[in-house]
Amino acid sequence: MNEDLKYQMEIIRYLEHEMSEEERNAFESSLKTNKDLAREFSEYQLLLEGIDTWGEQLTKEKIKSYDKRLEQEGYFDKSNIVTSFIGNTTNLKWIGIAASIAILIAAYIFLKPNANIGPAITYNTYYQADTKLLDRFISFYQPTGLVNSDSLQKDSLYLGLQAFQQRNYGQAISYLKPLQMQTKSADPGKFYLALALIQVNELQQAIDLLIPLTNSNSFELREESKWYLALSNMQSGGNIEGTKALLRELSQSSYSNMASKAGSLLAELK
Amino acid sequence: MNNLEDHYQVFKVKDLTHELDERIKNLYKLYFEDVKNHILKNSGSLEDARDLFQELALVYYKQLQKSDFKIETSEKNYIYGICKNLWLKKLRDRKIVSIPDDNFIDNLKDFSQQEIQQNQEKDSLIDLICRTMDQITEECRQIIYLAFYLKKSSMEIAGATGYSEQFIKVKKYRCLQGMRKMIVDSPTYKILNQ
Repeated sequence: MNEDLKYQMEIIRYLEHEMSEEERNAFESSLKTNKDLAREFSEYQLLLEGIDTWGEQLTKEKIKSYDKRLEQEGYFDKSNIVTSFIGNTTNLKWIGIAASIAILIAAYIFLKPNANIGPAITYNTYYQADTKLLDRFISFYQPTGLVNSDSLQKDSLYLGLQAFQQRNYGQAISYLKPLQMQTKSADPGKFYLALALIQVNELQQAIDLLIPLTNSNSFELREESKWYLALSNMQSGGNIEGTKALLRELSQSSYSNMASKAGSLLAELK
Repeated sequence: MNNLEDHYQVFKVKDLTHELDERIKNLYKLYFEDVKNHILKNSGSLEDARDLFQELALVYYKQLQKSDFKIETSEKNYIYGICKNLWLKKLRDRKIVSIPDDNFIDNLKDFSQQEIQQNQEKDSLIDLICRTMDQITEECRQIIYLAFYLKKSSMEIAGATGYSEQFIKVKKYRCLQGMRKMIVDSPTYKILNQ
């Protein structure tokens, strides 16, 4: 460990109240006499304050999205009746399951293919396989400590993502397809499988994979799943109102890039 | 544990953030109705109640994060206390009720031009830090979020990510060090420190 890092660790340990009484006293004395330490100390103090503010923004978004979810479930319309019902956690679980099933059924009906409309030109303008996100996943799995580099080459998710990145979509599909049966932890695999299927024009299969992902609260690419679902539905000639509804939802997204591209595609479709 | 789950421990990190999600859900389940009724009885609408409840949940969560935080009465009373204060403040802002806040006015008078400028600079720096958080690697963002915002111990993060505890201890400092360097090297920082 280098000296700089040791120095910094001391500051953070102090700020995070991890020091013993004796260590605190010694550190405070150094702060009074060492100007460089005092300057660095105030920089880290501000850095932690900034991280708190950033974290708070995330918490705010979480609360807001939970409020929005309740709104979509009609909780605020009938909250008096619902409250007495959701007081029981078993009932709450059933409400969640019923709501998820209803959303899935509605999505299938809404997005049922309709051969009359197919704005292929618009699709080509907007469709782009999102490799930035893929990089993020792969870099997370790189052998920097999370993954054992020896067994990395045997793993079908890693290999599938790598094949997708190399634009070898057929191979990506063959690696990722078995993951369809896996639990939620395979959601990124399902997502990139759907994108690979879009690339080989298997749009309906992609739609079938993307719909549950758009309904998965814990999946961090949920918004992106909606975006690709809207595009695949549009390209497959599905009900254009379904596409518009998804785009309208995305145009309200807290991710500014997503909101902006969804908004402009929506404007083109009107 | 199968091969997939064994390798992609990253998804277990969600277990550590799950606690926050559950707290939010429970707050709504337990207290939203009563908060709503209070707002409706006191010149507010359902929309006001929803906005206020979001603020309330954030205030409450921030309090819970403090290591020395203790609720003197019950959670229910504490929540209603926050609710009443926040709503009273809203009414005052809308000039529906007139409550003189002498301290507030006094504090305002005490701010010098120099202090106002210092506060603005600080706000810009905080804004820069937030933007930098969005630019660092996902791995560092996760570790910083868990360690410094959710205040999870290195051992807990190690359990969730599959790293060793020692690795997390060093990694979190390295991430923070890298972040500080990005900030100090940024043009915004240089302008603010001219």
